[in-house]
Amino acid sequence: MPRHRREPGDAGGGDYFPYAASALAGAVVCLALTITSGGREAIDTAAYFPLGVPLMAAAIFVISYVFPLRAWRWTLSMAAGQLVAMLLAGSSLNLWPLAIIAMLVYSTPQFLAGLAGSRLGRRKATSRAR
Amino acid sequence: MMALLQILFGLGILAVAYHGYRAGEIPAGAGYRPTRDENPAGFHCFLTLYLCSGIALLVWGVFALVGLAEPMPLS
Repeated sequence: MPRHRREPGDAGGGDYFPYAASALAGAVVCLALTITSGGREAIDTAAYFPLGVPLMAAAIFVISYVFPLRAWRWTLSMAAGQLVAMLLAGSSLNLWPLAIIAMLVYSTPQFLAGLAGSRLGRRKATSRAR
Repeated sequence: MMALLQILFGLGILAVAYHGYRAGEIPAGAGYRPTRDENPAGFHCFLTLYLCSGIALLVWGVFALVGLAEPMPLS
């Protein structure tokens, strides 16, 4: 029995690849920002919004284009990867509810990029199926 | 120049990882191709390795391109 209904654009073969790719992309970008800024939190660095967010949005766009089904999952996975990277970089868990809300707000460009990539991917899959 | 090369290598490694994921078989050295069905541990180990190194190379290359990081030294 299939785990979920197949739709145009469903890459098949399980779902862990896009989860892993988006979480790793978020974690690597945040860790790279922390390392290049000398240990500051990624979100406090000057390059987070002009470089980090576009880079992560581009990653989500590509992942959502290739795996267009329920693409919001990839952005959530990326937010989780960012949180893990920030914890690894020495952030405390004192304000974790606030951190989760802020992370979701900061992830708005990734959600939008995922939506755009998903629509393009579905359109391509549908035209290929015809 | 090195930054662009890093980006290209990163994209190439990610392409190999994605192709291996779709095909269920990943190239991992001379004559060694672990498959998802016969050798799942090796398959997932190399898939994770390619995914991590591809993303890391890509991000490092972009950071080097904008001047935030030193490009990979070639000696």
